[in-house]
Amino acid sequence: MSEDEIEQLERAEAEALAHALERGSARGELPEDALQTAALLRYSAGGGELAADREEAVLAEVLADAQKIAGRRADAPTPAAAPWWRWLLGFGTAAAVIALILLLAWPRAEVTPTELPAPDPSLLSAGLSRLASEGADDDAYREALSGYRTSVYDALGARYE
Amino acid sequence: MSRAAATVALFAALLCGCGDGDARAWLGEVRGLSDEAAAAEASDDRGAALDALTRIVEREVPAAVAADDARVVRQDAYERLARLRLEAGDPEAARAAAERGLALGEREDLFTANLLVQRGRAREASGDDAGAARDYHRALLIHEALLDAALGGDGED
Repeated sequence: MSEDEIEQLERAEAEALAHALERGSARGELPEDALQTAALLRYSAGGGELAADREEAVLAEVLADAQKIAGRRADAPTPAAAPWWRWLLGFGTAAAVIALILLLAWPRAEVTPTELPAPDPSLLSAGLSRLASEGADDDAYREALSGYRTSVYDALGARYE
Repeated sequence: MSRAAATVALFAALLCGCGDGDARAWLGEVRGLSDEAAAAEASDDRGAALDALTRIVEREVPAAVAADDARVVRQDAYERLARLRLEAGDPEAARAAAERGLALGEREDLFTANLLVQRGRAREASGDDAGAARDYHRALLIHEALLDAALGGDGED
């Protein structure tokens, strides 16, 4: 397309646009974008007002949309500010955990041992006898030891039970 | 708020003597096992006796129980385990049990002396006569000291 031809085409489009603006109708030379421009210019030239029925319809649509949005907001959980007791709960839990760790890690040696009964001299004599001579009566010592064991468990029971 | 209440209740329970309940439960359990082992041994059920004694030494000791009280209970169980192992002809296992018991702490008491005797026997059975003699001698000294104390002596004669 030559430069003259382009110029001629542009001139024709400009004339068609001017005609459309002036008369409210377009001739065949007007392209789509020019038609849209003409429609906008005409609408703004008329004060941009909508017809009353169209205005009502748009308003009803907008109000319905606004109502829907308000409903959704009301249904959604409200992100409230953390109440004071939540902070207290946090600090309380942390303090409890620290106390628990200290309690579990506390050295067991701190607990005073139970005062256990002293072994009976007869038990000790039996113990010495079995050490002094080979083949000494181990059963007699075992029996005496069983009695001592009972008295030890009794002492522990008095302390812990 | 229930989580906060549970936390506070736990904290209060710990501070107000929950540990005493643990100690009571522990003692009840180990005493029951000790009796069970004695009954099993009396009826020649070595397996049941070993099982009960093993459960005593493996039972976790609560923090509320004095370390020395736990030592006494566990050393007594280890001594019985060592004796049963030796009677079963396993001196190595007997010695291992005696040493685990002694590792809990050696004191001038009957429980330590009994473990020394069992380790000495295990050593003797394994051919370690010198080691056995040392253990017997230490056990003898403890017995003498205890006898002196029981008879009101000062232990110097």
